[in-house]
Amino acid sequence: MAELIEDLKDIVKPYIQNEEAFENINEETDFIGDLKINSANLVDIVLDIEDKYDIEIDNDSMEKMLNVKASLEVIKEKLASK
Amino acid sequence: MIGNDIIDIRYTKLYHNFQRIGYLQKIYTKAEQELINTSHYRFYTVWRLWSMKESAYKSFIKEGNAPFFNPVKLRCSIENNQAGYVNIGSSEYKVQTIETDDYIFSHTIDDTRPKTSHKLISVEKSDSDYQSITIYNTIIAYISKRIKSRDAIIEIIKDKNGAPSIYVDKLRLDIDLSITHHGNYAAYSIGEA
Repeated sequence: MAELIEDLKDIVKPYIQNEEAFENINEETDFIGDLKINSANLVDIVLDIEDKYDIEIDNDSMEKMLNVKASLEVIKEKLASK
Repeated sequence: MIGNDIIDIRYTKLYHNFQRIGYLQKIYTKAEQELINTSHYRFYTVWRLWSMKESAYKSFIKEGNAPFFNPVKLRCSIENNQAGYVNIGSSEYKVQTIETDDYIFSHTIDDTRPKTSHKLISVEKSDSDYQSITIYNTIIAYISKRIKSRDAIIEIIKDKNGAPSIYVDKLRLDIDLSITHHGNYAAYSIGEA
């Protein structure tokens, strides 16, 4: 889990607009509310995650990916079914 | 309730790449992709549709619906150069869009609260905090004039889903408000008395 969160940190880094929230990133961190990521960049994050883990994220799964916790759950679930 | 969205054209060209493989498929329906692919200027169509979706989504969330990230569920249709509709589930939102060389600005139209004004400003710096503070101060100055009070404490506070409200001396006003910022632009849309 700790490793996944570090990976996710690298992925979201180019899109964040709040350094402080980024430094304190944790499972409860919200992409838009806390990291101030532009919603059009959320798509980039989903595509970056797909590329990084060679997984496909369907829209029903993507729907939940508004925060770190939900995103980690989707990644784990997709990796498990690979 | 009103929802709005601004897109800074210059900033978008620098920081958003809609031509990335898989990008459009993740956010647009087949019909929207067709609209984009057959349009005269794809860039504008991509971002006009996006600003329509964002505006409608903000209205949808303000009505008490739970946040989600699945833009394909927000289905756009275009009426003419400025007017269009966005359907989310069984809700339909009419959206008005203005396009210039510098920005695209959209907002929903609420027929039950027809009197709404919009103010667009340019912001010197594109960092998120600076944009927020600048547009908040602009709104506070406007409200101060509107309620004719220089002494009242006016605050703009967002709820857990990011929807803003105006508070005067800690009391929430029943004024519809939507705020947007992107790149070097910010805007607010506000219900008139």
